[in-house]
Amino acid sequence: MQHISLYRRWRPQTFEEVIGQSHITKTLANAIRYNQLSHAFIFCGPRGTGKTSTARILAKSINCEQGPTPNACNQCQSCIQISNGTCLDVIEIDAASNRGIDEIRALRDKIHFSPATVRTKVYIIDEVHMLTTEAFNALLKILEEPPSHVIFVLATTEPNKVLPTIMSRCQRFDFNPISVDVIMRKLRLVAQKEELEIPEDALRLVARHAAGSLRDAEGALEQMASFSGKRITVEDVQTVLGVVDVALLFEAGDLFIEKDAAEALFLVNRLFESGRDLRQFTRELLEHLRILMIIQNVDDPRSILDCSQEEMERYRAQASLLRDGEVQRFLHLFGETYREMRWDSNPRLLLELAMVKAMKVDADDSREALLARLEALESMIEKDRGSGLLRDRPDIASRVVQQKREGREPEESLAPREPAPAHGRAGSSPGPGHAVDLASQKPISFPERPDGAYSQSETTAPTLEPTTPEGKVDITEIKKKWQAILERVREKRIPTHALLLEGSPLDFRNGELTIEFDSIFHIHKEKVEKGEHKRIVEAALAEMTGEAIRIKCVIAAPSSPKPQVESIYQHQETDEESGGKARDETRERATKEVEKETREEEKGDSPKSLKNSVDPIELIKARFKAKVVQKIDLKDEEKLWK
Amino acid sequence: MEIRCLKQELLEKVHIASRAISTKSVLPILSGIKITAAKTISLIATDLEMSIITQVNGDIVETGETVAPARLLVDILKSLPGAAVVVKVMPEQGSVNITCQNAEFDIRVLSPADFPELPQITGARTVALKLSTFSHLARQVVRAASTDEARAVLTGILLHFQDKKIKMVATDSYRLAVSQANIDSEVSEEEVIVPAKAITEVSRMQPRENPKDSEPLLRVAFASNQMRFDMNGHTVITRLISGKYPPYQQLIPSGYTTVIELPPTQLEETVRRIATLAQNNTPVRFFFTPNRLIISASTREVGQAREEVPIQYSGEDREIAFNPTFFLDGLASIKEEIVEFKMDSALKPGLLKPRGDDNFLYLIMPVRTG
Amino acid sequence: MGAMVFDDIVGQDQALDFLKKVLKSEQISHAYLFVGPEGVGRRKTALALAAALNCAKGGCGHCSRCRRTIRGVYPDLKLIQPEGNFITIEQIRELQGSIKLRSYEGHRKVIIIDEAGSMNAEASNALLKTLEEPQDEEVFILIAASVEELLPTISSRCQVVPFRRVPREAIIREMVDRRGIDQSQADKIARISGGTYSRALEMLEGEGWRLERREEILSLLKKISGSPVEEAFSVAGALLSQAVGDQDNLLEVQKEEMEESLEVAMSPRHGAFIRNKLRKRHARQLSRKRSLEINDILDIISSWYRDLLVYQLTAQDSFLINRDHRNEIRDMARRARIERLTNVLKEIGKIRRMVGFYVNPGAAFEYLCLLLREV
Repeated sequence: MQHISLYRRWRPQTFEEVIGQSHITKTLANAIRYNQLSHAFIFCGPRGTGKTSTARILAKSINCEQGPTPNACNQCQSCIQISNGTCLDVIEIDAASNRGIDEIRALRDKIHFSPATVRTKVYIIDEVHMLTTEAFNALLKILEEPPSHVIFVLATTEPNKVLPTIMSRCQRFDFNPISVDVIMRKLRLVAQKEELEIPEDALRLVARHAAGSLRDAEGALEQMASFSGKRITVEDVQTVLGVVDVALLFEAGDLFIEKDAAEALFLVNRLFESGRDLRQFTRELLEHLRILMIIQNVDDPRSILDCSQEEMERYRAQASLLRDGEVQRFLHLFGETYREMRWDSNPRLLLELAMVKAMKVDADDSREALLARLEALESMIEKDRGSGLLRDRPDIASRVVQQKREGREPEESLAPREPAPAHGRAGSSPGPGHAVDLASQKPISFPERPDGAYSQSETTAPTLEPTTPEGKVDITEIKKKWQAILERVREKRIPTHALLLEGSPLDFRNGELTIEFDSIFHIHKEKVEKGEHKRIVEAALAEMTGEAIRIKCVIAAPSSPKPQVESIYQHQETDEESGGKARDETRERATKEVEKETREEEKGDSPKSLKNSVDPIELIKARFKAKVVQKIDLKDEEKLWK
Repeated sequence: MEIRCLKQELLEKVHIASRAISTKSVLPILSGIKITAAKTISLIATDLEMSIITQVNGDIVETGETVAPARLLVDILKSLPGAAVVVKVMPEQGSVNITCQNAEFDIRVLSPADFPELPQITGARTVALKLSTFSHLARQVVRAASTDEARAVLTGILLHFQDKKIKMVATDSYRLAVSQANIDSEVSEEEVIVPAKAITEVSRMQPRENPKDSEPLLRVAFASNQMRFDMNGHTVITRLISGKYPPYQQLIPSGYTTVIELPPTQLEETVRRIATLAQNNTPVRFFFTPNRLIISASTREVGQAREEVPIQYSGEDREIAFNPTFFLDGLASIKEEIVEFKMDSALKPGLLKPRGDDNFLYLIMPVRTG
Repeated sequence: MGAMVFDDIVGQDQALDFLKKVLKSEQISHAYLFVGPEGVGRRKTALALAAALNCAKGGCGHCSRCRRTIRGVYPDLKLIQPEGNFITIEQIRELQGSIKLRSYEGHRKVIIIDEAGSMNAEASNALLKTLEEPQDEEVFILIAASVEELLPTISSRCQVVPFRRVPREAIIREMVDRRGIDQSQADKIARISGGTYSRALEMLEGEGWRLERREEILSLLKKISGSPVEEAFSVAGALLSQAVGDQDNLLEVQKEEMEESLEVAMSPRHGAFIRNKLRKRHARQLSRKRSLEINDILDIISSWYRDLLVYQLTAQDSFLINRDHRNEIRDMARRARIERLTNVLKEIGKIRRMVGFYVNPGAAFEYLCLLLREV
């Protein structure tokens, strides 16, 4: 009744049988041959590449009754016991479930016992990266003075998590992901021995699916065998491994070219109604887009891509009809969607939204979309100069320019407000007449509000802006201009503005502006002084003063009173109407920003701190002047969330 | 269901059954004892690994069954004033009524339908042997079993029946205990790995006082997954451990160059004294030199200790070191007058066994020093 | 086919086809990974598979073994679920301690690990060895939303069985044929359920209070656009009370379970052990229940705006979720703007994804309602 998986049944028993890792097996075999074996090894590499198998073969080679020999006999008692896991002296420890110091100490205490049946004890410590720091240090002690009758083989899929001092005590071997061809070779052999009939194409699908892991490949083959019996077809493989039909991906690609939102929604719903895994579809769509991107950018894409001439032609045709930046925007869009799907129970909605955004760049508020829209605008102005397209629409041209002058954003999309009749594609029946196809009629438009992400001023020509380059800059001048600078920052990026709001200019010398933050805003300070935020502040300073200014952030001495600084969590009553509101709003954003970044830093490990630091109710109260906030019994809340 | 019995009898049996109950379970039903009154009165408890069934002497007024919480049962029985108890199920109330003299308890019961069915050991092979034989073997080996769940087979005891012989083996890979005895009945070969807990439980079984008969027999029945031990209306059923037991015979060296003989108590006392210094598993060294055995231990932090034991020995000087706890465990299993202590080299295992008796041996891996 | 236990599972033909073939071939793998969305029958199928693996007739559904397996009380069936937020290494160790034993009834041991994605790194890694070198006739069934939830080293040791959302037609057929629901009601429920059959069944529970709730929420949404701020807050309040309304039952059941379990504890230590375990389990049940309800409400809200968007772009009502309200959708879609709709939907999505992460639901609803005003 017992069924042994293919992976175990065809586990390599000699160094020669280990596939795709000859750089390792040859070295090991030679070391054994010339008796120059190290006492500690670390095998690094992804799953299913032969780490544990190699470790066992090594144990056999050392302990074979005919040995030590690079060609263990696999016949003697030692070899057999090691193979079937009953050898008392080859000890496989799973560091993941024995990760503490106590386990390693126990190992240390036991290590001095002589081997019971063979020459050399072999400890195989799997998943060694899981050890705690204390345990690592204890292990280090052991590795520093290993008894001569012991050999260690550490194995890990994540060498970056292994203490460097451990690494340096071990001879390191890196196991490579196994190539599709090599996997196919092994699968062919297994299929032959198992008397499975499987065409090359199906074999290739299985091998590709395995992504470099032989165990995955053999597992998939086994799954195929239990599904199809002895004869496995390409269709079976597609069904069982859930490979998305390429035709659907090309169909989606065509829709991207035609910008047909309605048809894209039909496609999503067709997939949904047929019960397909939309996340998997999205993943494969990303792969499809990746191929298009590679074709657009690489002279000889077949050097990277593993596909037939015929397939390549189809991809090439599609790639030629999409603009370079467009494909990248789609990659961003669907990549984000793919990530979101992981946490979301409504993949259909996410995919629908992504499709709409893909087809209608106006609905997409990502940076890439804004760039795309800007490009459209630029080319239009360009054309205006040349062909006079805008002259046909003087209303648009003048409005854009006018509004830009006034430093405002265009207030409305420029498309006709009233939805035009649907101009459905052949096959899709036109509806009662309310559907809109904006894509064909609305070459440019701006969002109502750039929604905090990036304002246009960052992307449009700065010459439109009222910069005032004056001679020498000093701190007084900066202080005088501080509000304007803040405003400039706000235009560039609202979260940065929100962070900077808590700082004030302190000193300026040698081209370096010192900005002071109260100690309770140390997080703000830390954010402003690096990365994106810093660049934005410095850019704003440059634009407003006409000089390249570096910034340096400091925490104010605790005694210095800072009247304008207060907790962001408090409602500020003294604010004037508009400024106050804006300020509150930015504060909220700041809080969100900090919150978001803190969360990212903490990676969900201690959501408590997040909960404690910001109470969303307080935020809403602050923002909406407290009176109208629904009363919620916090006691109940706590109880519920405990 | 209604039964009458002596309070002391019932309490004792409830105690015995309770030993099968795990305190690592959140399933209420597994904290219960099932009481059945059919031909006899029996109590059943299980943690799904080991089950205990005991028969209670008493009268059945009405047949039936119920499951009562074990702890409550013990507490109530202990507190009862008189000698005779009546236990009666009240189906309408979903309770069981316990009366004794004027005291009366009504306790809520658990549903018998939820109680796990006892495994059927059908078509099983059986063998009978004296309980004292079984218990003797069990006591000798059980300490050598491993407690490390990572090598699950070693947490069990290998039970081997062959040619009118029973053999028990335990090892944690640092020592090995093998004990065997003759039995009367012929038996086909059986080899199973039994959880140490069940072996201990069986060895605790009490034969009823039965003055005129010879000792009653322990009946053992095997199925592929479970085994069952019966004696005098007391039953232990246990699941077996799956996996292959390592080929332990290979561990036993074929010959020794150094053999000494000593009373085990003398050796034990000496090692125990020296071992007071051997903290944190520091090994104790045994130095053989003509007519003397020098036992010593030293630790950098604490100090050193040394004691000479006169022995009959005329071979070369030899030294070997052992973990003192493991060594003492082995000695403790030898009750005979003289123990043989054998070794070959510092790297090969040492052996303890009773003189002139090949039925027990205890092998220890040396610790490499220096 | 003997496997009658699978008959109750709706709309998973492909997965069942695979499993039946496996059962027939007797090439039983040591580990299966059932992946798919919540509520499409993964758990039910896992139990059915467990029954089929041990039933003498390949899963008749009637014998003692089948019945006990499906009730989850079969001694060789181990069901592991997260305690608290994770499946911990202690749970995996306990499992290892019990699977070293031969089966209780002499057949296969089946271990179902539900929400396997909640195994933390320690637990996952600890499970690896057990999956790699299974001792006896044990079969693992891991249940997860997607393969990526698990360590690749785990998923690569399992045969992956995908579970799909149930096609609308299958749900309708099931509702009409087996439950005697009329066609239009069945269609409505099938659309709302979004391809998860268990959700469709929930719609029928308790005299359809969920359906009523949906009507109430939709009527709130129809008037929230452009309403005063105070109105938006009162809608938020109404949504919140809809979300928390229904947990008293659960609390009562939990209280009872706790009391009954403590009553039989063997010792104070055992009592503490039980209390600790149950508390974790109950807290989890409660928070699941809460996020379930909140999600349900968010789903209703997003379905509305999604329908507006879909209608505006396609002018077709064939795959509207709230097709029963198509007249209003048609009217309102005329006025709505794509950017606003996509923005609102994006925000709802964010809230939905954050509800699991300690976000105060009251504040979330308020934020949302303020946003909805502007659509």
